Amino acid sequence: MIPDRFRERYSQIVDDPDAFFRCICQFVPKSFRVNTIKSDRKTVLERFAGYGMNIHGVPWYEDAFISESLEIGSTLEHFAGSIYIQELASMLPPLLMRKELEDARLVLDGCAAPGSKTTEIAAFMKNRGTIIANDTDFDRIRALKFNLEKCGVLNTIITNMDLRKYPPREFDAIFIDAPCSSEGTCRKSESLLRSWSERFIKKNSDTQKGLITKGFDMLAPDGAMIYSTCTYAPEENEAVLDHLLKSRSDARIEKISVPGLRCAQGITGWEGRSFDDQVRNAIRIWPHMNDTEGFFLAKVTRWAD
Amino acid sequence: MGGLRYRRDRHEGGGSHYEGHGSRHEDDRGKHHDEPDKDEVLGYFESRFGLDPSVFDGYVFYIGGRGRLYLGPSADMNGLRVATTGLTIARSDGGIKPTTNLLQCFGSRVTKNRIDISRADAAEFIRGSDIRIDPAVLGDVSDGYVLLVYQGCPLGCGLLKQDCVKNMLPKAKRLNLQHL
Repeated sequence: MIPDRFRERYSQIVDDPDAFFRCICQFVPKSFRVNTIKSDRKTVLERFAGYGMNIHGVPWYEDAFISESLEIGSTLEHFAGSIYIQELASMLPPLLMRKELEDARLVLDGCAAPGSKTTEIAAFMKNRGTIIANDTDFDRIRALKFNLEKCGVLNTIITNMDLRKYPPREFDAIFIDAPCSSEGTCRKSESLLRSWSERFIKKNSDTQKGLITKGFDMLAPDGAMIYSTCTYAPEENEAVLDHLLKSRSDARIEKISVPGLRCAQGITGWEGRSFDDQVRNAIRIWPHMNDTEGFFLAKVTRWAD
Repeated sequence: MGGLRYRRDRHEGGGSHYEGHGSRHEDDRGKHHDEPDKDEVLGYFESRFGLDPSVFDGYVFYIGGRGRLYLGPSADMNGLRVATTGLTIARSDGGIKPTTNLLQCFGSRVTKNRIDISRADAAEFIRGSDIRIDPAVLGDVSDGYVLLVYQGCPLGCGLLKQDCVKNMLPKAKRLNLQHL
């Protein structure tokens, strides 16, 4: 059951409201990523073919696959950490920084648990350099550590701090996958829409503004930061970017795209409020566009002097 | 949170030590255990599993609480509340115990005391059971910790005693697999 106010809000900004509301009532396909630290896609595909499982790739990431079988969690490859079961859209933040990660020495994953992104970042870094994977929630650190170890990740230090109080550091790449209202995950969690409220959205927005500003302040001069959420709410997305652009004059939102992936631009106005034009450079992944969950991504850098 | 022992041992160039200040280690909340000695552990990996110490080049050894040894990246940890570092590679509890994570991670380089097992035995092992090994297939494998392998895939650590391999997989890793 989709709340009326939810329907009203997003009918205004989605390209095809009917397709969107229909899609979020369907389950999201089961997907996984080949963990290139431990294996390679040729080996994994051969093994899965041997199991008689129907697996197919996506046009925008060669190591991402959709499984028609729900049993990928009971394969040897899952046990051994050769694959990582992960929703497709959540693979995007590291993918957008693939090139930067190849040479990065020090990377921050600011809101890391349970480790889906961190393990992917480590794979792009070929297990070299250093990742600091932070999460404020101590209870989630155990899952983060378990997943990193299972995937054979060696280049990561896990910290348990409020990112907004992090001591001064300078990172080549930063990921802020901010805690959010998670509207985009409602395809796998039906109860999410039942407890949906605008009050929760507004509460998240303040935290997110603190996280993005702190992240930007720790960015090396040539560094880049991905800000992402799994929600549609402009208050948690474009409004957060707008806050950063207003409070840091050298912040810049880079234009991004992923070849083969359909997406929409960031929006420049919401409920009577207008945002900096640069927020157009962010991308919105609506679920019906690629049969994924919903996601929002922006790449932040510093203007050169 | 006070009184934490957290030290790092650089593998390359030998011997720089770091005494962490204010860092917290999640494994430090237990009782006191003997600290493992890095060289002793490296020597054990080499003699027991044929793992050349050079496989660890570029990483740093960290000694945590409860006799655990970690392999991780080099980093300035001043001011950070560290929960854990890299991969837990061994525990020292009266002797050295390699972790399944270490053997899975470096399994392709293990040349000694590895046992190739059948599909049925692999399924049993991953489920958490001890398994029996035909002594005829053991060859040079001796009693002690071993790596179990199925079709080239390193499964994890077992403890061989005569013809029985005691299952050392952590409970959280055990699975009832349908496809292998």
